Amino acid sequence: MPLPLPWVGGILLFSLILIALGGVFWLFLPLFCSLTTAVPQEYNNSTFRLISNCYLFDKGDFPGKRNIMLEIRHFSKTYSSGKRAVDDLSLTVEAGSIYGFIGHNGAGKTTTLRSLAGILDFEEGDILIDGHSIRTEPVAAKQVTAFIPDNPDLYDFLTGIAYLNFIADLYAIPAEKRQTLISKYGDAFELTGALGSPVAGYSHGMKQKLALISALIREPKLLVLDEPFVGLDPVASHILKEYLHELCNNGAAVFFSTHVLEVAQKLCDHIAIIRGGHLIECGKTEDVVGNSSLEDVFLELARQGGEAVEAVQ
Amino acid sequence: MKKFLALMRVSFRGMIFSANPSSKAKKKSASSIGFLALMSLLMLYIGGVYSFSFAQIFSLFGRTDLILTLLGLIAVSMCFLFGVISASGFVFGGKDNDILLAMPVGTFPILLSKVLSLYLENIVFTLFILLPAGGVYLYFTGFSVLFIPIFLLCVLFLPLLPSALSLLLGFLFTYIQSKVRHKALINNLLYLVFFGLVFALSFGLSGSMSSGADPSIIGTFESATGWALPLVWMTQALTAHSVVSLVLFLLSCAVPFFLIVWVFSLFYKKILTRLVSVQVRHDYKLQQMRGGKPFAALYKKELRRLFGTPIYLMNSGLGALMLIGGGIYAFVAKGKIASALADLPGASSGMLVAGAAVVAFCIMVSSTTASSISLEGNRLWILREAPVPIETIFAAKIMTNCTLMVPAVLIGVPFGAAGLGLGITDTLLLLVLGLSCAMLTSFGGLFLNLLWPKLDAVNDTVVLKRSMSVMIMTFGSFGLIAIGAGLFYLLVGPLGLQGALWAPTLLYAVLAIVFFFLVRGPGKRMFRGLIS
Repeated sequence: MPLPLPWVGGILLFSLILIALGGVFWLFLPLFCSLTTAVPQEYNNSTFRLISNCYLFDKGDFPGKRNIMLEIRHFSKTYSSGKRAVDDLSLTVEAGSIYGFIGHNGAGKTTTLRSLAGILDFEEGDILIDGHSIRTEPVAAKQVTAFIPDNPDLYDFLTGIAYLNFIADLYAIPAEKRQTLISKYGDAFELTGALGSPVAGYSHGMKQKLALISALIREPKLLVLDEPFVGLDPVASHILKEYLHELCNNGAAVFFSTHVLEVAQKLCDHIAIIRGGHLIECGKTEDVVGNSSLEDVFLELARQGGEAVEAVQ
Repeated sequence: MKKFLALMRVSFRGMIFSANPSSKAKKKSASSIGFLALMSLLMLYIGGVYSFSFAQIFSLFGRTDLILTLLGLIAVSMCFLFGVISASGFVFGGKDNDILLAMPVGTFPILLSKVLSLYLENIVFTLFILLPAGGVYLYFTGFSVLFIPIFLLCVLFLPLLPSALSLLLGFLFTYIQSKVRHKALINNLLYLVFFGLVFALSFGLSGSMSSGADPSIIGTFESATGWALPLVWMTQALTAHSVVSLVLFLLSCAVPFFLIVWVFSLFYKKILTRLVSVQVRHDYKLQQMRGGKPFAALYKKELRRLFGTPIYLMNSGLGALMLIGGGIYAFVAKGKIASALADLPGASSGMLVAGAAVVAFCIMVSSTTASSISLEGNRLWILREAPVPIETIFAAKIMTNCTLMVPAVLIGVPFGAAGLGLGITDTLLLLVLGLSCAMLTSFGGLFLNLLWPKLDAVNDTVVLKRSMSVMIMTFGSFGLIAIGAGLFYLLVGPLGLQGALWAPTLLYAVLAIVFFFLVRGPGKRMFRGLIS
């Protein structure tokens, strides 16, 4: 029996109303979000893009609490030998930020980076990545993070492509997507041709590039790098910097350590300086550096730190 | 000379502390002493068993001196067997080669220091194999004062021979590995042939030992050992106190050793350059990719590691290969075994016990998990930062061991049982025993490796041959087999043959379950605490 015409018309009308209401809802949602998260005045002109129910902000926009990608809360790490490598470190890295982490040898940079990547266990404080605690929700936190150590040892017995496939499997990257991303980054770093050879034959720079490709194909929300420019040739360094910007433009954050202060000053929008396990300075790069250079600031802080130690002694 | 001594000190320290998983000095020396003690015990056991068994036979014909030649040959063979793998790893594959070659020291002292660390290891082996032989000889022939200093000289010089031979064969294996495309496969085959020859020799000796007091055995042994002139000279020096024989023996050991080291030192840099230069091709084109699950990725990675590293496969999977080979051999030689059993009253019932002993030994003596954490080394960060539960990482490692052991049991046991003429219930019992042992070594090995990880080894050889977890696994397995044997002998009266064999089977199964829970609980915490 055919449906009576009024019923059909009623259903259609009801659907249209729902769609219209839905559209209004979606149109007003960004405003709703901005009100509830108290977006600062200077970010009110941000361009919002909807990706999988997650609002991301274009470059330079840091919309408050909701987009904090890394939060280190009162983190301390004491090794079994009794050495306190990091003491009560608190730090926040927002989405879209390239955050430089600088300090002397043995200041606690690598310990911090390895702890937030879930490689080192710690007892005091907490580290949250995209809202997930690395201590209580390690798998969820690691799923959105990529970490590259200063001297990445990779599986020598695998070929480059086998290693990338291994990582892609661990991070559940779909086949088509991994192919596109490996091709993109492999070609950019001029490594695609060598991917069929065993990693054992790679030079230090090639291993570094392979490790970087394995990190970038994950499209991480937080990219953590320990001395990423060591071993890279100038072209690869330049390409890496471009990709770091691209990553941040897409709403991710980069947190990296370096001893090359010129690079840190040019590349980072935020800088943190650590000394003897204590955070001694952090903030926007222009605020930290002022009219001076990062090198001068670093040396001055180092001198003050040395005097403080002497005074205590 | 100062530089050489400094190099020697570093090599020696590296050797002594290589088993040590801890960075604390006290623990370090304690674990190193424990490691040496364990090694020494094994050698004493081997030397003792062979010496007494043969001395009883040889003394009947007034040729007790043959023990010294024979045990000398066993010492050289054992040192050679273990030394070949060590030479590939330490002399040609050490990570410290770059640093050492950049130093203002000639290649001869560098190579000599590396080979002498092999030699020092061999001295321990030789001492504990020859010591019981010397004791047994003196027991049967009477004490002689001159015997002691000559014996000590022999212990010092004899290890030079296998050290030089190991260097030669180790180089050959490493060279072939660097030349061929399917290097792992070729090397695995080479090692299999080499081990096959050594085992054939051992079985031949054991066969002679069990043949009893047949006078023809003396002639057989004289012809078997007569070609080994240095050992004949050593025996003459020890028994007849002949100065000429002693000098000939010392020269025959020292001259080839220093000659080989000197010749190799002339080409050492060239050899290393050739060995380390791995060809990187630049013509790879991306092909269609397929996605997989994290567990499958980890499991495949473990398998590639195992089958792509000959020393790993040979150290951890030799028992499984022996079980399959032995089982198939028993099946093929079924007729011979049946006729031999027909001549011996009650031998058929002993076959079940012998089968159980072989299955337990083959499976428990090897475990891939006992070194799988240590082998991650500096690459542990890859697993630690991966968004994968620790249980999945463990499961992949355990599955790898099972991949090697379970098929070995499922193939080797039915074939072996059929060859030995065992019934279905006996075969079933052996299958359960084999599977229990496989589970025990899988979980037990992993737990031991988490307890004693060795993440800072200079190469895989150190992990696989000298790390504490591997040693404890091997010697612990001997202990567990002994406990199982004890249980069997206690219960064989009241429970009968089959019933008594279920006791060790259940014991191993229960221990496997205990280790399963240890791995799941404290094991996960230990993994989180690892620092590479």
